[in-house]
Amino acid sequence: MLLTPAVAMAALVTLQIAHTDTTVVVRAGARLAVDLRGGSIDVRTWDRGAVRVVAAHSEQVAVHVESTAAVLSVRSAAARGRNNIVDYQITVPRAMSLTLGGGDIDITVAGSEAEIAANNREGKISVNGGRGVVSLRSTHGEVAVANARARIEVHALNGDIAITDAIGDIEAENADGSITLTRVDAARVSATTVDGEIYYEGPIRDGGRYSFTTHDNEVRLVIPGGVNATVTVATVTGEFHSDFPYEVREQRGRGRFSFVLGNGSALLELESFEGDIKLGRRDAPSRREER
Amino acid sequence: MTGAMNEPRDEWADRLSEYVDGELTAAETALLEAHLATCARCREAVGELRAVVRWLSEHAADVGHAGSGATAPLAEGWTRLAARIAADGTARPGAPPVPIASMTRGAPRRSWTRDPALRPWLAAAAALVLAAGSVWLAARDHLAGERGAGRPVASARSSPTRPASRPRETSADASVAAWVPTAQYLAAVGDLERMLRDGRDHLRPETIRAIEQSLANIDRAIAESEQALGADPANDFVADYLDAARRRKLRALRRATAAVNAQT
Repeated sequence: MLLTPAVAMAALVTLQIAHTDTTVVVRAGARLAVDLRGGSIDVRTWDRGAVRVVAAHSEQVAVHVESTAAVLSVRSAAARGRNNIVDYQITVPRAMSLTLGGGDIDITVAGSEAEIAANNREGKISVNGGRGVVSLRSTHGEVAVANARARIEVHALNGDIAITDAIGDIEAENADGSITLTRVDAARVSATTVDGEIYYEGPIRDGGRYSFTTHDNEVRLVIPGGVNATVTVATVTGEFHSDFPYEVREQRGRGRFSFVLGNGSALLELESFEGDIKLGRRDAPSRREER
Repeated sequence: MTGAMNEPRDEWADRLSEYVDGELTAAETALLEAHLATCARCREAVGELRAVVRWLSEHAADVGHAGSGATAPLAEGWTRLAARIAADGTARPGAPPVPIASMTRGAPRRSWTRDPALRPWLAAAAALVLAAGSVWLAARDHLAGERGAGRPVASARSSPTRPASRPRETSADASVAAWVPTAQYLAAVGDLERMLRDGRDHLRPETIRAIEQSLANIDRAIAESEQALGADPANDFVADYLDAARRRKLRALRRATAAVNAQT
């Protein structure tokens, strides 16, 4: 349906959109904490020692920005019976740690060079950047992380998880959704889902520990040649395929065995209850075009 | 997973509740805070324990007013209670934290968990305590675990395919194929499922569908694992897998009830 300008204007008046725009100087080391029931949080960075909070909300919602030496707190309150929904666009110092959380909200962070903790019930969480620890939790929504240099912890219940171009250890857990780790560089990786594929593309570090578990989908790894790893494979009804030649060191029933690549220093655990497990070599001609 | 990354000191996992209660010396506090700076799981555990204390302290007056039986556990110290619950849960490796119902142990006989006036905050408290116990348990496992501490017979199951040092959720009893769900586990699952049912009106239909789908996936994984283990009782992979699936169900339920409580 097309809206005439008059109808659109009437709609705007009915919505009574209000805007908050405030800038607060913050000390180095202060953390931003945003608590929100519904709407969105979009965090960007700049090189100033200040935080700018721009918020769009109804006139029945009040936005409160409160600052202490350690925390800049942003929250909203709605008049009784009104929806507490705000769309935030917040600009922060690049090194400011972030705690973002709430209910049905989309969360976007771009350009951060600090710790990030984000939590939502419904909505997408998208983080570009992050240092130290990036900890993300979602009940229902996709979670995407890119360009983090941090330990990454993602716990989702329902929604795909994608981590790309990251350096740092990874722990990802899901119940319904895939886990895709692309061009990651970590000494420790744990990825677990129930109904979803697991894909890993990255190096296997000497002495590292890598664990991938899904219930009824594929586990697929694309790793470089020259790997030193003890590989354990376990599946109940799936099949195992490998680009790497291997000799089974110990067979423990159907679908359970281990073998060693190189000196075996890393531990690589591949498990799918009823899906296939594929160990691909990055430069293998047969796999090059696969993904 | 983070245990070896941070080389944590094992003793701190047992002292987080003392820290939250302010019972550590200044020197101990400084040492623990230095550890917290490098250990996300312990930080998270401390945060959850503080959430329990904060929430319950905010509602202490309500508790005393609405249900006299509830004051006894409050006086005991909630963080230690949560820690004790988690400790009880680890009496047998693999056992989860106990449900809220067990918190009345030692308290007057009146069942304050059944008082209708208390149900809303009890539900929230249960979620918080269960979460805190879980996080505490995870931190304790993580601090103690990778070198095998607290897992006395894990090595009995070690094999090239199941290294003893593996940081996973394993059944500790070599004579048992899989951890058998305890009454505590079943009660915890029952409590959380009931909280979820009671709170579903607060969630959007899409969220409810997503949660139900996820839980159904986990239930299917548990059922298929049990079936596979029945067919092959010596299969340690399936036994471990079943353990992990059951724990995953608890985590998923906690996540779901946390979503409910975020809205109520």
